[in-house]
Amino acid sequence: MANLKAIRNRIGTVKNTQQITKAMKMVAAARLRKAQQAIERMRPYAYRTRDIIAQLAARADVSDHPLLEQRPPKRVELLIFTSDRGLCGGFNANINRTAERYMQANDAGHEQIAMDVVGRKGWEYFKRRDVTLNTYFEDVLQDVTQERASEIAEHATLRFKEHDLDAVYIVYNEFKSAITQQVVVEQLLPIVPAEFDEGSYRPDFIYEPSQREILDAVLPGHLTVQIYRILLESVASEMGARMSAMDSATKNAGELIDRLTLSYNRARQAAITTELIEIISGAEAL
Amino acid sequence: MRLSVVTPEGAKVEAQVQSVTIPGAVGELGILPGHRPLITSLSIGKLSYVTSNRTEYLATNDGYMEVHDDVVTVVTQSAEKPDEIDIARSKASVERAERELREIDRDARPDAWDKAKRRRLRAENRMRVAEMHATPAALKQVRERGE
Repeated sequence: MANLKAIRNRIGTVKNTQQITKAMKMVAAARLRKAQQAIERMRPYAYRTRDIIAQLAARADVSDHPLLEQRPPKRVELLIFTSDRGLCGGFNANINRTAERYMQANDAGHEQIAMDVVGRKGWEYFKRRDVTLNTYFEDVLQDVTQERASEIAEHATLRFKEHDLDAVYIVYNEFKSAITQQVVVEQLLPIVPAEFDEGSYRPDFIYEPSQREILDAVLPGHLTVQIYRILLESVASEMGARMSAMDSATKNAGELIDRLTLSYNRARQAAITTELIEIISGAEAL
Repeated sequence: MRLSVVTPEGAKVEAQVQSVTIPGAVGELGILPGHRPLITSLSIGKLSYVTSNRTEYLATNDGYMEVHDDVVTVVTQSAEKPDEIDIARSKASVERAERELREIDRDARPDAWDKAKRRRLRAENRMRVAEMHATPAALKQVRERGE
């Protein structure tokens, strides 16, 4: 009988867990819908801005702009975007692993590699490891705002301008769909100029007022826009990853409950059978 | 000629147009089909375009415009149609910005002063565009809501 009770308790616990994972899945699904809309609206704007800056950056007469200056990458920084909360599948683990692998692969090429971390999960992972951690941005993904994006962008641009840094790379999850996210490593600074293939069509633009002035007008906001986009990508990816992780957790719990129920019924039947045999053999003995 | 107006809130306009007039940084600029490739910055102002013989208006913010191969792409921080603008709110935000402009010491905090000034410009622009081009029905709705 003790065994029966143990199984019953176990079923109760798993059911409770299942309720939690189910609730988390629903919450993630609801937030995902909003996050997905936000990122899909933002993308055309962000990509357009990036394209035009890349176009402008490719022209020789603006290449002396402070944010376009290409220096030998001696001191580089890795800016990674993780979440503050766990239970979202491989969302954080993928970022951390990619960042770590990147550092190992490029260790020899640079004098110094440091890290800036957005999100508690990345911070907790790397603070126990042998890396230089510079800045930690907390509670960013809970509530993505222009102000936070511009704070992160400023942080990188200021030090790039002052030659404290020669390059900044970013590692983030790009939102593909609710069930897939892709880890992307991109160069944030210096700005990558557009490449033109030999002989390919290269429109000969007129610039008004001048290339330099357009660049000055568009550049300052540009990095904030890109960071803002990446934050939105991360939120949508996080919600997608959590939704699928919680979905499979709920399914697994269901299977576990089924299995436990089966063994519970078996144990119950076995107990009844034993009891019957006892009664029958008792009756026979009379 | 194709026009697309892109903002952080998504694409605002995707349309076939006959002509576009934009508030360029160096003055108003008209674009007709067959225009040479051009990149120019955009200032706070009024963008208008003609589509199926009707003129439509947008209140724009900072941004830029790219023209090539008869595709006009306007990328701006915000673009509002006259009917979407809440005049009462714009008015309130003009007043707020003016109050701030009086309070802020221009020499001590030039950045904040500039910001407030731009905010006033944007709000005034929205008001102007709405007053000139909103449909009477939309204006009436706004007025009723204000009362």
